[in-house]
Amino acid sequence: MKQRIAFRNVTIDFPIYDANARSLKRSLVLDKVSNFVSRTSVGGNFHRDRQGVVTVRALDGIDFRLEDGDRVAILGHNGSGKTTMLRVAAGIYEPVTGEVVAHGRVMPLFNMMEGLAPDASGVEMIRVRGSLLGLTEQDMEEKTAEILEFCDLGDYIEMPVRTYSTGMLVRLMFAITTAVESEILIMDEFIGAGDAAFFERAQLRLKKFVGKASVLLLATHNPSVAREWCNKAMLLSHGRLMEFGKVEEVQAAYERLAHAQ
Amino acid sequence: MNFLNARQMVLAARDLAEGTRKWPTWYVLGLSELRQRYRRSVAGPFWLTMSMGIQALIMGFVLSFLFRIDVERYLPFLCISLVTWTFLNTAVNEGATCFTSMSAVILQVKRPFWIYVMLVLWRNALIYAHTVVIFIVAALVYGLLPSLTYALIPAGLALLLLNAAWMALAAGLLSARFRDVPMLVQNAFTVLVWLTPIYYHADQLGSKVRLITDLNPLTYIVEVARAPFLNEIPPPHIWFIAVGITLCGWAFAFALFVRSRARIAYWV
Repeated sequence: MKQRIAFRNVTIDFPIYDANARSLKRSLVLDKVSNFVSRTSVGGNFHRDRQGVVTVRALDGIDFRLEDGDRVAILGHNGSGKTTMLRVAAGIYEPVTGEVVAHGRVMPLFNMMEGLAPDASGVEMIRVRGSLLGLTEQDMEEKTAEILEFCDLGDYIEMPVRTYSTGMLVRLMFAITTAVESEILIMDEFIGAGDAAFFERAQLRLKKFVGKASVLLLATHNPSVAREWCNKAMLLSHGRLMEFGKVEEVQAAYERLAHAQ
Repeated sequence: MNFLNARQMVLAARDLAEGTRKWPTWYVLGLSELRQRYRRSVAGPFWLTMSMGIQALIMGFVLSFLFRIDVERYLPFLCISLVTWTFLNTAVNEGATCFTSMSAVILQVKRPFWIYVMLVLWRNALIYAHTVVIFIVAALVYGLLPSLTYALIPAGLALLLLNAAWMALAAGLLSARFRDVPMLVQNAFTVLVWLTPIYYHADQLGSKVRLITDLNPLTYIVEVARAPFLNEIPPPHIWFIAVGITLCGWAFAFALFVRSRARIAYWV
């Protein structure tokens, strides 16, 4: 089995330059007293670095490795570090402590609507979105016909996208997004699309799209999505990796954690 | 911290190389942004040409009268001065916000950060191409015909571009961390336009006052990008100084980039 992505003791601190240190005094003092008491039900823990800047510890000593075929659901409360972890995996946040190793093309899909310009035509959106995803001119030429066929918008494709209904817009962006293959697929909440007629086609395409990826990392609050698409799960709490294993077991642990609070 | 860290240096250099190599990204986005800006307007980006043309025309007549210079000598000079200055000014000012304004995009996909600087440069190069028309018109009207000095235009423009590039990069990096920098840059350029020979020739200043423009690095950058259009060849020392400024500027901006590249995503 080929190792695709590995986190080695990754810790991520966010500097918060506009935080008023005094209003956070209680948390900062408490933080020194005990690291086991979590003071809030959301977010990471506050710290203060050497220069006195308030930092939020979003991830704390995360360590794991994923191999080909791993489909991992990431569970956790609001602010537990799910999105941060996805962004670190995507290489957007480079860790100061620890190391992330990834092999293969990483495709993070946090927001299908990225790069949306209301006055651009559908065809132009394909080019803009495609170039944001890092496609070359040649890639784009190859994909365009297939995207047009799948989203099935007819003559609307030459119209400005602001004239589209929400559903049509989703169709277009979904078609563009799922046209690009990658080895490591990273999603913040599952993407889904369209009306009843389109839904089945979209599901089919999505299966193929996800199937082509070697590794899937999916942050979700939806238990059925996690069960349907993933074979492993992680539980994050206040930036720490609490559990990593079978989906059912981790979900059970997540429920226990949620009730405990 | 990681000021002269070899690994960070390699990563920064790779970012620059990758960002340049991924030209379709900034090429497509730059064209698309310019198109967005002028969608459904009949004249489109030529509004820039017209507004700068009218500005140059009115300023040209008033200032040539005040300076007691022939309009036919002054107007082509003013046109190319304005076009050159506007490029530098806008590129650096937009460079100052090139990371902060793209924060939503930066947090979506890992890309070389240099792409966002290239996007600003490319968009302003397109605008330069549109506005340089006013100089061509003025030159034709006043019979200032192209000469052999035009061969130096590519070298002059290359220096202008390289300097706009390091200034935009440095301004963007500093602004990502310190949010006062965009305002600072804006104010600096408002003042600098008077301390750089844009509206006037450096020769018009007395020998004492001239020290100000002689000490201003922008004087040399503007001069090498402007003089060849006016059938003038800047003396060698001007070129040497301009190249020196380019090298020093890049060394500074690159050091800054090495130090802060990995932190940009956290700051925006």
